[in-house]
Amino acid sequence: MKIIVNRIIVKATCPYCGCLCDDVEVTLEDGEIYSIKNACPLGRMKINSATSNVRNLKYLIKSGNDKIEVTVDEAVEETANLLLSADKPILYGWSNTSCEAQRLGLKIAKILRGVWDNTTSVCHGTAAIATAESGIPSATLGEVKNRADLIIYWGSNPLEAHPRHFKRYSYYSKGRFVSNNARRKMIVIDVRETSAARLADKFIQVKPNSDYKVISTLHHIIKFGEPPERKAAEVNINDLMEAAKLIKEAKFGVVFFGLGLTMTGYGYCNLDALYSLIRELNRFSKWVTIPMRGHYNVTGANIVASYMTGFPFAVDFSTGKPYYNPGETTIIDLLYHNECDLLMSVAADPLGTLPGEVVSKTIGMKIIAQDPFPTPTTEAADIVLPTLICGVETGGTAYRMDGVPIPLKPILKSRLNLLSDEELLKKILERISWRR
Amino acid sequence: MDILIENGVFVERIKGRDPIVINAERKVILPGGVDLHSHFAGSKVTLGRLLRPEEHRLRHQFGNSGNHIGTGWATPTPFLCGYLYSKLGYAKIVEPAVPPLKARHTHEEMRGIPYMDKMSLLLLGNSWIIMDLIAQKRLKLLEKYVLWVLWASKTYGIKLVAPGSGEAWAWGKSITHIDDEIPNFSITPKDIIYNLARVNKEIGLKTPVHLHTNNLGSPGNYQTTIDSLKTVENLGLRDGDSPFIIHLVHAQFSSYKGDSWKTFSSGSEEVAAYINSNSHVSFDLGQIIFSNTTTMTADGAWQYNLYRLTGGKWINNDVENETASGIVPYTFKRKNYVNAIQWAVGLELALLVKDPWKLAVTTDHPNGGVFTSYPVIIAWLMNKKFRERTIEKINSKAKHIIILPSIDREYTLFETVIVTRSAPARIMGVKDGATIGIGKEANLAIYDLGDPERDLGENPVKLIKGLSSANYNIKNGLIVMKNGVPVQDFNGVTYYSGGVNESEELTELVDYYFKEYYTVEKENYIVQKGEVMHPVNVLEEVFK
Ligand SMILES: [Zn+2]
Repeated sequence: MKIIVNRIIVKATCPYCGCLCDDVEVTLEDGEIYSIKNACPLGRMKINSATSNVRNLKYLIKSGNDKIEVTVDEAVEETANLLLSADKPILYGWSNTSCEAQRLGLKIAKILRGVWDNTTSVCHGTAAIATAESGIPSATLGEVKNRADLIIYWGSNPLEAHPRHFKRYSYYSKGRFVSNNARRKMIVIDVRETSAARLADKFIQVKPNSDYKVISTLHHIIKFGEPPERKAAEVNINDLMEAAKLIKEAKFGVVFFGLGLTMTGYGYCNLDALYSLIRELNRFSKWVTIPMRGHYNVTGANIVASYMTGFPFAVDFSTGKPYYNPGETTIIDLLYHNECDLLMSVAADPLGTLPGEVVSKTIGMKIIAQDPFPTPTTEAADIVLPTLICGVETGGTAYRMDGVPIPLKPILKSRLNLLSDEELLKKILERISWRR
Repeated sequence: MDILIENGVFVERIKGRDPIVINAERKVILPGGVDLHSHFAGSKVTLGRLLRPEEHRLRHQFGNSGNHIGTGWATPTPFLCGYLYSKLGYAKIVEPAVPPLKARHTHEEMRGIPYMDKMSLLLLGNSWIIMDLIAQKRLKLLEKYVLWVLWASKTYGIKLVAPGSGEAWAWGKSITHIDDEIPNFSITPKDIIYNLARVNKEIGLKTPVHLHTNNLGSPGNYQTTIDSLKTVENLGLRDGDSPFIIHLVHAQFSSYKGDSWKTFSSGSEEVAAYINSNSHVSFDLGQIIFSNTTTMTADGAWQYNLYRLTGGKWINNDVENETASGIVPYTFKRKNYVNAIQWAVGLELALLVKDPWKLAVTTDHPNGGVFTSYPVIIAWLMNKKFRERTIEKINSKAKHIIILPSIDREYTLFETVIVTRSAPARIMGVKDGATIGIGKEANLAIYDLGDPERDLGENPVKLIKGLSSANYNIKNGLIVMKNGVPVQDFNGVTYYSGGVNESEELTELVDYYFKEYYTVEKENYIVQKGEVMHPVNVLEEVFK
């Protein structure tokens, strides 16, 4: 007996990390995933999650200790009720969904005079603050692929967190002026010997929270040819001298930085120091720096918020005009100081990811959770809004870690009768606008 | 006299009943304004926002009105941008610097700009494909590629920013002479200027090549400017509404003499003389306004120089295989010698070039200043005394070497209408959108400028106030703005050019660059029509 299958290959943009690989190919048989080509294990897992049973399937509203199933319209109505009766709602998340959804979220927050914050405030927010402080010399990833002869990873673990970064954009990629990795050198700077460190021409191990001092020392060496007299950083000076030599020999260099710089001691000063070093290096040759962004569309969230309001995250609309002051209008600070009475989470899991002392403040708050997957946040929510998986079951626009916009594609038609983030938020926006 | 409008166009008589009647007695009625060079949307504008949160605390609007969000001075949010232009009486605006790889971003922001028709210019002056094709002398294929990449990005025309210099800047170097060879490419900036101007004419784009000259901003650059314009002298004129073969953008920044900042002086007489005696050049002012702003350009090397001069903030953002870019905040100061001369150079160019049809008023928003300053420029052009009042306040050394005080010309109101409407519309190839005539698009602005029997230039304060806020802005026959208050939602069209060419040679070429050098797939590089607000292709969609 012969079974005839309808087999097609579709191109996909991987909705996992900030690499936003757009060369993924998914083979579908009768609408089901048969195989996935060009994706890393993380992307593969994300794309396969469409077929997982661990999904939010129903619109749920809390009633006493239980949650009861309702229709989408009832869920939207109840969401509008809670949002409109809140004093100062915070709408948080946004990094795992499309720019279209992010835009609607900002409009909803504006109408409600609430706060719109995204996961940047707990990952690369310090890099945005440092950019506002002094600016960032940067480029798109193709510039690295085609030109870079020295690549530095600082406080990031590319092989684990961004598995295809090496091959597509950096050390292992081939480009016009660098035909293979024999012509590239790599320096890894980290608190531990990562797998990338073992491949590097030079690995410099730094003590936790000492990056600021190391950057400053390196800057001094590059500028004056010798380390500062007063020994500031507890790091092997010979290592830094060797790194400085490689740095000065490079024609085109790049520093990729991750959470090891953005979320450690000295905060945004780490980035301020890094950007300052990169500016200095541009006196000798060409240098750029690019953040290793985590979620696939966290960059889009910053871009959308910036053009919509002038600010990249932590936008507080409570006076009617957008107000931005990280440390005050960021989710951690708002929740910790009991400033908000409602938390709406979209495509994120604040209760599962924020520090315990902040999470404990959400007890008693109204919570609305919009997510394709069950999380501690959907678990605790008063309203659960299930959605399609953006980038797998539905499309949109996302921005890669270097700010290049790439379309997300619906890879397959969902077996679930649900709406996308964008469609659902549109309904909520309409409902709120109409009710006001 | 009555002006009649029905179904979005001017008509001889109205068929419908109960028309809306506006009494415009003693008011000035002008076609909707056209801004052919203003950086209002896209990647570098948003990077400017990221660089300067402080700038978004300077202006705020719509606090109480629904879901509209309006902040920003040099880089207003899209909604505020459309609102401010409409209030000014404008109808069509051109974003002049789109990196092809990030065209999707530009369209995403342009979709949020209400009221205006939009066009955008594609940065092609440092494109690898283009430089390689010129070097290989595959010039027919070059034509096909230009059509394809305009189509793929849904943009309208060609922009060259310091051709070849962006590629040099990708290595931290710069090019100072248009006959210098571009590193790794065996061609010169001159080759790029000549070939793209020729291609532009050949494929029949509606607007000439827009050129941001090499050495922009530097002392002594007027010679580079004239040399660049000479490069295309023998190409003749173009067919169609816009006869010019080259459009010199923000000419003010390219018309300097001297060999250092100390000996910096005006080159306006030389540049104006060249433009007066040749018919193939149009230009816009790039007038500076004494104020703080955020400068942004694809001229990465120049922005690095500016950063070294100011020592302040600097963003650099090069785009693979295509272009450089940079952003630097800057304050133009009256008492600064160089700034004072720059201010004079813009006005000198406008007053020395005899034919107003060759020029358009711009500030190269936000580089020289913000577009809401246009009424002040009009007042300077119309009133010599008003110019003198500003001259009194500028740097005293500069005061004595500029030629502006010796120029008596004052623009008539009619001439100001040409340089803010008719001329830019003609240069962009959208003349019908800025003409009050039967069957033409009904785009009108109505202003109260005082007693129309008197010389309107006489009272510059009244003139500036009147021009800054139209009583009515009528777009495609709809009242969209009344006394600065939005009346109804309206989204204009987005014009684009180019077309798909069914050519194997072209497919092979483009595929090669995507496979080897780009980091995105070709299919994701192409902006779909659905991503563009009301797309209108002014050329054929498919070419043979
Ligand atoms: Zn410009």
